[in-house]
Amino acid sequence: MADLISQIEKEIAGLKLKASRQNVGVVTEIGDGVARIEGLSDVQYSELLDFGSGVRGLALNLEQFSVGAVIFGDFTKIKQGAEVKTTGQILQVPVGEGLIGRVVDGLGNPIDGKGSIKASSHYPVEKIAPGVITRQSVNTPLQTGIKAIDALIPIGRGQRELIIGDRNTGKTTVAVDTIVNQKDVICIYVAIGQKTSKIAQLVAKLEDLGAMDHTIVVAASASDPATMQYIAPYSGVAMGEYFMDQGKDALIVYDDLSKHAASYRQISLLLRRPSGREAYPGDVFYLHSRLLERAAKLNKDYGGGSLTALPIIETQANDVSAYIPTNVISITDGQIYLEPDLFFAGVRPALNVGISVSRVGGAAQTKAMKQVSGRLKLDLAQFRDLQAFAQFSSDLDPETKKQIERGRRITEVLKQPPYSPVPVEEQVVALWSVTNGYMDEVEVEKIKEFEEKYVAHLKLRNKKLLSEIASKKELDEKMIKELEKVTKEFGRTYGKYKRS
Amino acid sequence: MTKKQMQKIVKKLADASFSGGRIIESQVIRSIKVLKSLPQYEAISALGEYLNSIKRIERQFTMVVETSIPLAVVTVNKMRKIVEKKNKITKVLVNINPEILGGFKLKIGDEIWDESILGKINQVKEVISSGRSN
Repeated sequence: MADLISQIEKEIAGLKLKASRQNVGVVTEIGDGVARIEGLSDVQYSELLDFGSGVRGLALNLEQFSVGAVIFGDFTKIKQGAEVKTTGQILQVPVGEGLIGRVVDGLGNPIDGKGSIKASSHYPVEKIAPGVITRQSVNTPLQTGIKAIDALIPIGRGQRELIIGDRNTGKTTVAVDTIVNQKDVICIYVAIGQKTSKIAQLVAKLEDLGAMDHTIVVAASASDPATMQYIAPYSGVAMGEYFMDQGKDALIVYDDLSKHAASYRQISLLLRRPSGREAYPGDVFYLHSRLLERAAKLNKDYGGGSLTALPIIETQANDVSAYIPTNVISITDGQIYLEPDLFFAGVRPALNVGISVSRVGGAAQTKAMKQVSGRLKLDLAQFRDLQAFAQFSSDLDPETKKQIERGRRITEVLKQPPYSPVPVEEQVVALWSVTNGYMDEVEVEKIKEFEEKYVAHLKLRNKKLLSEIASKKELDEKMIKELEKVTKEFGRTYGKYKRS
Repeated sequence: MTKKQMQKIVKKLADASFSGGRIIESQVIRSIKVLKSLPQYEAISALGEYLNSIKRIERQFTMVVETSIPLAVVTVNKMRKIVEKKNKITKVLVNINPEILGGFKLKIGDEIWDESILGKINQVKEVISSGRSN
């Protein structure tokens, strides 16, 4: 205590107080988190405003005689005629390791009741994305632990991969699975406009799975003002950028950007900005493009860090051609499309492999995964073409029948329960065995059991082989031969396993 | 008449209502007559806009001094003279506000110069809080 007082005394002694000059304005209109202020002739765009009594705002509309501002916090405290001051600052949020494991609001204030946050620094919420010189193309995979994604729609560190689908199709689960699977990647989960109960459940789930040790949750729930929902993703990305600048790898999930666009629409309409298609303002594309452009893989001269973005978009009645989905599809480097029909048919994750794509992730995929996924894609594509004929199976030629059966087995292998990510070496062996026909004789209903026991057998008898695949990240001839031997041996003994 | 055209006319009338920072009553009456002659729905908004413009211009030539205790006329005049080196002042208002504890606050147009004790305390508060973590 004495130290603290002496430190404060020291700071005060060295302080040179000056007459402060401030630009002021008067609130002429207030409502729904938006204020119109007369005066503030020197205000800058996006400057932080002080409304007094601890309430702050952001200047967004600069007009000839008035300023339109959004208010953070309790706007009911502000009255018409109240004085507003400029601060000369732009909005900043605390960043650093101290935030890991914490739940914060859109301004970086802790809301988890675990006390104050020790921030390493403060980063501006709005920042220009890294330029061409500082970047390099993605070259390291970000393992999601989901077989279908890692094999068919690989994500690289620094990539922006959209997760799109109707409500209740497992979009958040895919994102959470990815967070759970990370070990050396710091994750930021930004909840925008979600139910507070859902956010609480998610945080509890992450804690149960031990994933909060490397995760920051930025929560702007449905009960928060639209201004907080608007700013939350930018705060989240600023927190991620700090780790990227430190040369670390970070992952950010925006759940979801449809609600973010809706909150921005609300603010824009209240600010009386001209509305366009679906009443969204004209700059709704820039709203998301400037956010997602901040995800990057920096080159070695700039520390080599990365920030991977997984934005989520909720579609209405499968309409991927709506305004916001098409905007975000065009900004991102690919999309993971989750289909309700597949979800209800029991294919989970309900990934539509035909529509889903990763434009740059292939370059980051490990060699081992590439070796098995090439064949997998081909088999699945053939299966999709022939699926329509599956009901006439008795009239089909043996080759077509074989392809359909193979496709069914691959689909079974790609099914995965939530919150159970699979290590990459186990994914490789399971996919290798199904694409090479070692599961063709197994009944479709028993594929899951076969796979589990097969991987367990490998872990028990050939742990060295699995660790070699994990370390070398490729399947050389020697490994393939050994894998063939082990798989054949397991195939013969599978019956015995079943009985036991 | 479009809104832009109306704003242009109102601005011209408001500018013409001032001479050397002082309001000219006769010009104001004339401007109001002109605006009243507009169709009723336009006249109402034009008059509102005109009044706001008048207030805005007047604010630029008004010096507001806020102190915790009443100031002597000589002191106020001295202040006015110093300010008039940079800004034309036509009106001086003195507000007594014990909450600022001491010193004074000076307001001209949109600008505030804070020389109050409360302002200084706030500066100290900011330095201490910014030196610590969030």
